[in-house]
Amino acid sequence: MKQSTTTDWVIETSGLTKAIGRKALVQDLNLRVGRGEIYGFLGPNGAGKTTTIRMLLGLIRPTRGSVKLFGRELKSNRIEALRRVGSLVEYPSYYGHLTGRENLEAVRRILGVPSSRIDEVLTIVRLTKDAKRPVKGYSLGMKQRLGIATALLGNPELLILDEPTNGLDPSGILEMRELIKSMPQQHGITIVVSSHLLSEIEQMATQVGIIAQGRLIAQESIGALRGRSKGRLSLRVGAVPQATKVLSAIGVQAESAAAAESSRTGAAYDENANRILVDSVDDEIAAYYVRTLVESGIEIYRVEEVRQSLEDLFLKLTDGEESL
Amino acid sequence: MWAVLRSEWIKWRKSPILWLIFVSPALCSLIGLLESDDMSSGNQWDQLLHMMGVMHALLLMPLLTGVFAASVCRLEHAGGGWKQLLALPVSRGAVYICKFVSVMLLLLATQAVFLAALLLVGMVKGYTDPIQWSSLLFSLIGSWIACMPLAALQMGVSVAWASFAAPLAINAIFTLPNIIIANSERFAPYYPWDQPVLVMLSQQLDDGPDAFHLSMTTLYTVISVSFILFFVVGHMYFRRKPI
Amino acid sequence: MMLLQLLAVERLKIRRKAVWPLIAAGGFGVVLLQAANYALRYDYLMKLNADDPWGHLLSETHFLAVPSLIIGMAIIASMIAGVEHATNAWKQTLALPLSRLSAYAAKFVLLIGLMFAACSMLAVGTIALGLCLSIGTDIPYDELLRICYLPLLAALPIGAIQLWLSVSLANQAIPLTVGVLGTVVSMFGMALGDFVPYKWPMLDNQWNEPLIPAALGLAVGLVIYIAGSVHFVRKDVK
Repeated sequence: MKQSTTTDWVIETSGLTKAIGRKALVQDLNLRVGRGEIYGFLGPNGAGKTTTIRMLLGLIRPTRGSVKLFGRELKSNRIEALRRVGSLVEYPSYYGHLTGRENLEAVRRILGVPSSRIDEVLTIVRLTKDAKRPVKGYSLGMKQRLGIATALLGNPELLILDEPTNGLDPSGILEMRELIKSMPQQHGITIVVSSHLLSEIEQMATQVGIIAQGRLIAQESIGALRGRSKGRLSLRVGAVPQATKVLSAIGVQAESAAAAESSRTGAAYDENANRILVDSVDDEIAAYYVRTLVESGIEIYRVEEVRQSLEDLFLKLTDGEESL
Repeated sequence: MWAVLRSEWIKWRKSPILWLIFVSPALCSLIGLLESDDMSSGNQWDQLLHMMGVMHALLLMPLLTGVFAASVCRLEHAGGGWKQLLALPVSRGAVYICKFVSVMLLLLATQAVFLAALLLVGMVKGYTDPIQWSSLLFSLIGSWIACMPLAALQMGVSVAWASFAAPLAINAIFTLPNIIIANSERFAPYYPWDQPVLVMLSQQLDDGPDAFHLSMTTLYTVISVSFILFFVVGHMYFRRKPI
Repeated sequence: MMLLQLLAVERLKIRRKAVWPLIAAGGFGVVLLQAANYALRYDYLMKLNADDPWGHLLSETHFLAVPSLIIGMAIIASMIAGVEHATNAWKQTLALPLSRLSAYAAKFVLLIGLMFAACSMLAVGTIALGLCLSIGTDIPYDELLRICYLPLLAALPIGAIQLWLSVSLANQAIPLTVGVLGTVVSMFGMALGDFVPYKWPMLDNQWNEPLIPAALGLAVGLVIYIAGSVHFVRKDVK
C-alpha cells in the first residue's frame, strides 16, 4: 500500500452541513477516516447517515462545509477522487432486464478496467454461478452482493458501503462481515460502513463515528469506545449516605445508584434504593473497600460487578433514540 | 464520453424499446400500401414520401422522441441507477450528453428503417420513376435534426420526473394539437412538436399554395436557437440535481 | 358496499398524482385547442361552414377528442396501476381481505369514471365555446351527446386492454407505448376495416350508424374486461 504524501486522512470533512429549508439533516460534521481503517458510521435510522454518504460521493451538494477525499477537495477533483472510490448507497442499484454480468459490464465500460476483473469480483461475492441470469430474478441478498461486486469493480482504495447488511439473512450477514473485514488486510482498502446496528459495527470496525440527529456525537477507536463502557462495582449497603462518606474518606468516589439511574431515566427504582456504585477495581482493592465499610459498621448485603454495555453507552450518547 | 456511450449500449441492447424503431416505419408502410396513388403529377417517390411522411413526422416522430427520452431515463430511475452511475468517475455533463446522443441515435435508426420501408413499398408498388436521392435524404435527415429541440426538451422533463407516464403524458398532450397548429403559418415554426413534419415535407410544400408554406429561414433559426436553449437548460439542471 | 369502499380507497391512492389536472387538461384541452383553431382561422372556417356551423364545430371537436380519449385512457390506466407497481404495493393491496375481482373492478370503474368526467367537461366546454363563437343558440344536443359520450363506449375495449396491460406488466413503458401507437392508428383509422376496435371511436362505419360501433365497443369492452379480471385473479403477485 503506497502511503499518501499529502495527508493521512482518506476522508476529511469540515463543518459539513446539509439543510433543506431551515431543517438541518446533517450539521457540522467533521469526519476523519484514516487509511486502512474500517470506519463504522453508526446512528439510528434517519440520523443523517445516507445524507452524509451522498455528500461524500458528490451526489448532493453540501449546504456548507467541505469534503476532502485523499487529501483533495471533492468539489474540484470529483472525477479523480471517484476513480478511487467504490460505493453502495442505501439499496443496490441495478438494471433488472440485464444479467448480473451485463450489469457489471455496463459499469466496467465506464471504469475502463479489464474484463477479467468482472470474473474476479463475481468470485469475491460468489455470484459466478448466477451471473447469467437477469437481475430482476435475484433475491435481495444477491442484489446486495452484486452491488458490492460493482463497488469493487474499479479496484477502489476506498469503499463506502451504506447499510450493506440490510435485508440479508444471518449467514449472509456473517459472510458480508467477513468480506468487509478481509479487505483492508488483503487489498489495503479503507472502508466506511454505515449501520444502525451497534453489534454489527462492533464486530468489524476499527474506528467508530456515531451520528444522531445530524450531529457527530462521538468519533474514536473501537478500543477507546469500549474503554468508556467498562464495568462498575455495585454495593448494596445498609446506609447509603454513611457509606458514601466512608468511601470518600479513603479517596473513593462513590455514587448512589438511585441518583445515577434517575439522572438517566428520570425515575428511581426501589432496587436501587440502597445501592452505591464505584469504578471497577481489582479484587484486592475491592476487598479493601468492603473491609473498610464493614469496619465502619456498615452492613453489606451484596457486591456485584455491573457491566455497562456498549448498547447502554450508545443509548446514552444518542439520548435514547428509538430504533436501534 | 465514448466509454459512457458504450455502457449505454449494454443497457439498450436487450431492452424491448429497441423494437420501437420498427413500429413507425411498419405503420407508415401500411398507409403507403393501402392508399392508392394519385397519378396526376409529380414523382411517385415524392408522393409516397408525402403519404408516409405525414403520419411519421407529424405524430410518430414527436411521440417516439418522448418515448425514447423517457426510456433512457427510466432505465436509471427504475433500479436506482442514477446514484450508481453518478458515483462513477464520469462528469454529469458527459452522462447527460450521452443520454441525449442515445435518443438521437435511436431516432436516426428509426429514420434508416423508415427509408428502407419506403423503398420497399415503392418496389412492391412497382415504381418506375427515378429516385430523387437528394431530396429524399434531405427530408429524412432534416426531420431528424428537427427533432433535436424536442428531444432536448423531453430529456429535461424525463430526467426531472421519476415517473415514466408523466413526461410521456405531457408529450402526448402537446403532440395531438400538431395537426391544428401545423396549419398556422405564424405559429407552427415555433412549436417544437411540429418542426419535424415542417422540415420533412418542406420541399413538397414549398412550391404549392399550401397552408404549410412558410419561411424556411425562420424555421431553421428557431430550431437551432430552441435546441441550444433547451439543451443548455436541461444540462444545467441535471448537473445541479441532487440524487 | 364493497365496491364503493374500494373506489374510495382507489381515489385516495391517486391523490396528488395530478390525475384530475390531467383529466381537465384532456376535457377542456380539446375545447381550448378548438378555440385556438377557430381563433386562428375564424373567417376561413366560418365561410367554409356557413350552412352548419354547429355541426362543423362538433365534428372537428370529435376528431380531436378521439385521440385525446385514447391516449388519456392509456395514461390514466398506467397511473392507476402504476401506484401499485411503483412501490410494490400489489402484495399489500391483495393481501387485504378483499376479492381480487373487486380490486380489479374498482380500478376499471375508476378509469371509466374519470374518462366519463373528461367527456362531460368536453360537452360543457363545447357548448360554451359555441356560444362564445356566436354561432347561434340552436345547439344540436343530440349530436353533442353523440360525439361526447358514444366515443367513450366505443373505446371501452381500448380502455380494458390498457388496464389489463398496465396491471399485468410492471414496466409501464409497454402499455404506454401501445397506447401511443393506438392513438396514432385511430387517427388514421379511416383506412381500417370496420371490425378493428381502434376505428370505432370515430363512429365511422359503412352503415353510417354511430350506435353500432358504440354497441360493439360496449360488448367487446366487457368481454376484454372479464378476460382481464380472470387473468388478474389467477396471476401470481410479486
